[in-house]
Amino acid sequence: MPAIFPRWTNKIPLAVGVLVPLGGAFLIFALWYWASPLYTDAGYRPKQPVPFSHALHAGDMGMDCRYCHNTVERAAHAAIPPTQTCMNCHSQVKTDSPRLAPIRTSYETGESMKWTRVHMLPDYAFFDHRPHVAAGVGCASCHGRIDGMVVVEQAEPLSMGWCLDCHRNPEPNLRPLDQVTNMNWDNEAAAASYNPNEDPERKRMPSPPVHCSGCHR
Amino acid sequence: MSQTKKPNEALKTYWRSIARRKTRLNVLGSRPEDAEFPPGADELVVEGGASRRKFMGILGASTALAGLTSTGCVRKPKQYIMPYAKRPEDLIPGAPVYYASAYQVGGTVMGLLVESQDGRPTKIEGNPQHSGSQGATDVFAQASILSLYDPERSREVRSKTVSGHVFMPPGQGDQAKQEVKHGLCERLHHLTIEDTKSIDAAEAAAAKCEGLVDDAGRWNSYIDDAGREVTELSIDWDTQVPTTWGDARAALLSTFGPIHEAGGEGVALVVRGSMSPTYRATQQAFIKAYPKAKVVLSDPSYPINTVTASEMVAGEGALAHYSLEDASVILAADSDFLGTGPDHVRLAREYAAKRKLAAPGDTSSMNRLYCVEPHLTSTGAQADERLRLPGGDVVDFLAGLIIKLVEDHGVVLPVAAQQFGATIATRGQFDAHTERFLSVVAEDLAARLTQPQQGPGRVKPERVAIIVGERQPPLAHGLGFLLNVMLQSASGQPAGSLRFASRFGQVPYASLAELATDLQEGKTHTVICLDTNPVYDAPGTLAMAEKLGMAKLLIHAGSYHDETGQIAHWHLPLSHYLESWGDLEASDGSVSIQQPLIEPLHDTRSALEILSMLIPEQDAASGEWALSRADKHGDELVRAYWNGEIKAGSARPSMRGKPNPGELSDKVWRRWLHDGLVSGIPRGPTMKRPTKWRAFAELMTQREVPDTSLYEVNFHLDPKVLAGEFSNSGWMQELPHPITKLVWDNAAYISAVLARELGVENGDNLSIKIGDASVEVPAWIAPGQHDRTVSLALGYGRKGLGAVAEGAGFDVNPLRPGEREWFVRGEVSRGAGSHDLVSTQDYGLLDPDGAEGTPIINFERRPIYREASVEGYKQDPEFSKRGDLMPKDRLKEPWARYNELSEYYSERKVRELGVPIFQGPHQWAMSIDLNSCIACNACVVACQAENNIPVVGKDEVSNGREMHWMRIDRYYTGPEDNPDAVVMPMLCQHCETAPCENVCPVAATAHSPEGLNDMAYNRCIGTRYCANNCPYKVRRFNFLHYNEFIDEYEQMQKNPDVTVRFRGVIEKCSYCVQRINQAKIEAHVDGEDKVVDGAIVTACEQVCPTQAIVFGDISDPNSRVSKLKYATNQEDYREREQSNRDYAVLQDLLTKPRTTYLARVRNPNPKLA
Repeated sequence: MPAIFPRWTNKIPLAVGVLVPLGGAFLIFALWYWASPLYTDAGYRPKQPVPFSHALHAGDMGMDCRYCHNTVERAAHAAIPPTQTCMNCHSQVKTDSPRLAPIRTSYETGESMKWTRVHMLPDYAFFDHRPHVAAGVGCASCHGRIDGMVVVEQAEPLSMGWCLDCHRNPEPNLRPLDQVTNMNWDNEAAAASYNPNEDPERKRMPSPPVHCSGCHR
Repeated sequence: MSQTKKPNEALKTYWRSIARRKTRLNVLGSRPEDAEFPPGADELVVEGGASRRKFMGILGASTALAGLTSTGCVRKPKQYIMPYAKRPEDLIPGAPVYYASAYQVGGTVMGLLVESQDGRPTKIEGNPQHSGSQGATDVFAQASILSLYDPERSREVRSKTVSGHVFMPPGQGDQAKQEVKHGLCERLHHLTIEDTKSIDAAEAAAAKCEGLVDDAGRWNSYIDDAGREVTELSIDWDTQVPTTWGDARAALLSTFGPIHEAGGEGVALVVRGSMSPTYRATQQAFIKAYPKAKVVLSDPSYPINTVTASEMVAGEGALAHYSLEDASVILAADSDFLGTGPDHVRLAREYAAKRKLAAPGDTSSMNRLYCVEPHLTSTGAQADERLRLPGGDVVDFLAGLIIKLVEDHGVVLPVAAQQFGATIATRGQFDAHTERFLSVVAEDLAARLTQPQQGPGRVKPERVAIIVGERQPPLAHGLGFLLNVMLQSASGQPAGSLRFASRFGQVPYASLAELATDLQEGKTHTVICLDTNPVYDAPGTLAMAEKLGMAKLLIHAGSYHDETGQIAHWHLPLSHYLESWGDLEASDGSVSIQQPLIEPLHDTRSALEILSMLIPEQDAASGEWALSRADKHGDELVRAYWNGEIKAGSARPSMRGKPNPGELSDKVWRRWLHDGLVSGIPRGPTMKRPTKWRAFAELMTQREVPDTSLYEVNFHLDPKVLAGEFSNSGWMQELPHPITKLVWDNAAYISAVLARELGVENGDNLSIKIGDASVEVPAWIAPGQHDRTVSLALGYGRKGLGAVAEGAGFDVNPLRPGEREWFVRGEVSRGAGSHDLVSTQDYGLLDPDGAEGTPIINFERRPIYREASVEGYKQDPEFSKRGDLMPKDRLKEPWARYNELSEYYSERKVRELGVPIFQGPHQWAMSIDLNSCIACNACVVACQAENNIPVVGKDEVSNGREMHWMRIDRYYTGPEDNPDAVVMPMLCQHCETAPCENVCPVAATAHSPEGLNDMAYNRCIGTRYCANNCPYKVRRFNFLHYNEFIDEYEQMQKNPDVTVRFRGVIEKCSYCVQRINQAKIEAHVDGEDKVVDGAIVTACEQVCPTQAIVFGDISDPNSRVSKLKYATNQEDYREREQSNRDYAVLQDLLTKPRTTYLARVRNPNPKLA
């Protein structure tokens, strides 16, 4: 019988047997890397309507996080401050700055400022700041060095895996309860020797949930 | 092996519906109606008949396109955060705040605490301090939150008077007139195009408008405050046109001027039966300002017969107030006091409080409920003994009871009632069964009454309570009051079952019949319907639609553009109670201020504000009377009223030893708003005594003999939509009726015997003819219905109300003979055609009577509902453990044998087998007391409100896809023609060894260390294996994206703490995990490891009027739930003994559910066995 297929087709199964696993592996790697929150979400740095610089306010001037985000210990959300909080100072400081014009307009007309949200979780995940702050998880642990950011960027992926890494082993990320807003605490001498188990100020050791309903309601 | 002993009542057969009782086993190929799920519940059934094959094809195609559409690859969407510009002090975004308010439904007033999330109310709870609610609410209060956000609520003023005006500098007369006329006709042109989409019609309308302006236009010119000349023009159009409150005011000002001069002659104000002191006082002020006007009461849900009878017997202003706290025998004569009767929340609590049994010894204080009624209601289902009797015969029943008590048991009539007593007689004879029931009840009542000896150490007679339903004529109430008095249960000191409280503010109401006559004769020309809808809910014989059409001016104020609003000259949109100020007085005298939770969503006013608009004030300087030009706000009106009350009360000498407050201070007002209760008003004595019986004697002698050849047709308030208040509420329409489990429709309830006589089956139309009126309503065979009666529910068959109410059910109001007559004799015959009635009674069938299955497996009856009589309970306190198909000691877990091997090996094996490990600090569990559940459905709607459960519509429910996480299963038991009904709430049992968890291919449902069966919606891929495996059938699947096209307003009701589910995921009860997490977080922030018992109340637990549901931590031996479930209190709950009534449904499947039930103990009368 004459040969139906040319001789080079004999190499096809071999090529397929090598390329398909390699291709599949590459596809899996590609998704694992480029579709993971570490790539897609960390580093997100949207433009805001007013160029508010945390580096200036929280860093240089040393304002505590809770001065503006004052509901963090009493509610699930650490609320973005109302325009009135800005005007607490800016009714006297830099009252004519053109970059603060939207703030002044908002205060006068009562219209809200339209800030772009940086740290987002999907709607089916419910995060509550209160137990984290009460347990002694520092602001910088999840939000990064905000006091060095001129424009806020998302420092950590905030993915479920990343959350579980700490939930399964919280102790390395705990700090004394009065150092929660101290962004620089990790670099200070006290940090190296801190043992949360022996901290007398601490009322209880945290029991972070690792079961589904802990965060998915 | 130990024998399974049957309880000493024969293991009762429980069945769900007549149709299924007739099913036979079918081993080879079951019929669709025998399937565990109805067709469509587990398969995609698509309109137009796409088969499974076609669906797979479509699926394949759409998968291919998935990557290309926007839902496939898109970055996380941009979200914005928009904080306040000036945040109110103490407001924390995201943290709910609770405000006290109050709500009236029918004759029940409940104090409420309303949860407000970010400035909008999302959930309603009861105010624990208010006697009317005691922390609980009913199903109507729960559903009222959705009515607030109903997108089909009326939003704007509509009027047949079209008006326009123009401002000009003075002296432009003609030009101004031309401009106004042109503007007016342009507007009508525009509106006609919008309505009819036809330019020809619009041109015709504009031409007509010009003609009308020239012929009959009303002009008005004046100079306003700013010095401009205002030229106004109005004409009367033939359809309603949207307009403004300003125009309404202007029209009212001009109309009511001459009316006031005439003293209000020819004016009728039609109002609801409101229990608000301020509103009634405003009505009194209306009467004072217009002495010749009539105030008409039009409210089918108001207990008018009870009120009339109370005033007849105890004087003006009296209202019967029942208390069941001490009642050991309760006779409910056609009274659904647990369902839709007045004060049902409080009465349910008091009733159930005497039925909480921990041991057989507790049964000595248990009460006994006799129920006499024509159709099966929630109260009838709870009853220990029930008699079917036509509604019209209840008077005879009560008369017969009195006669028996006086003649056979020597009970004495009070002196004042001797004349009445002499006239009491029954018409005709009862049948043997009823006669027997009557004598047994008389004996039981008489036995409770021990003659008090004179002098110290008198024996206190046991209290009884005879409650007569609000449908019964005043004569029946009179007989009931007399019975209470005779049986020494109506005294004031100590408080008996029956008291007469005096209400604030009496208003002399006229009846709708009078109004109809006046309209016919032309005596009344102006009618103002404030929150009433006589065109729909007035009795058909009055023909109110026609009569109101004769009125010269019909003003309607309502929440919806309902049937009356559609024909009115002016339709004013009304605010919801959550948007308005008011107050409410409960029947025991406690008053709450109703405060708004949100600014009115639309341009609406409250009924109080509208009525105040109509009351003129006298100008101090000129002495002229005029309607005020400025709006009076609700809070000013309410405050002014209570200020007046305090001033008036302060004029009396102080009875409390403290000086009377002179006026209402801000501090006191705030305290009232905070507590939800008004206190500190110096009031005079308010108790009235039942002493006037003569009027009843006349009623007794004037009774007619009914035509017994005809059937009795009775009307009742629907336990879901009442008399039409909730017709447009999706939650209520979809809520299965507590007994018949019908959704989205009403039906004519008939007994099986009558159905056979007429030759009808479920859904076949019946033609019901009363007098000249005839209506076709589909029949529904309702076990427990009296054979010669047909029961019809009000509130359905609405027209033009909204998309939800359209097409739902049938309007039976044309048949009603009168406002106070709820029973009438009529002809019933087979009508034409049939209607598709959907009932959920066969869904989620747990197969209690073993009719399903094959001879090979599962042929035994499954003891899902377990009950015993008091005798049975005493003889065998552990009766609830009997009847398991498999004795407990033979049930073994799959890993049981590994416990015998070495520790290391068994631990590893245990982990491998996926045995759930319960190491959490709490172990959540729930106990449901079947003795207390009254099937009021409050828990079902509360769960729907709390957990964002969607409404799916009638078609989807007919496919078995209703989404309620909690359902009330109703079983009938006993002979088919006169069964008892029992109810059982069923929700996710959170089984320790849950069959649903093992079969999820993606581990979307896992077990938490605290015993909760978690559900991660985002992980679920919609296999539905878990729903299939669940033996309790409590898992619901989102077949379609039910939440996709939710109106913006409806979205506001959603609870932000709970995920709103997308299409394709399974959902189920989560033990309100959002509330659990919230409480745990607060405890942890405070430094506590564990939550205190009682800090977490699930939504169902919180609203249950009878406290049937208890949730808590069983790792704590002292928690309430531990005490209910367990008899001993070891630290480890697994070692404890179950309490004697506690059992788990289907416990021999070894699912180990955390939700267990306390078996029912009935208290039947042994003489009626």
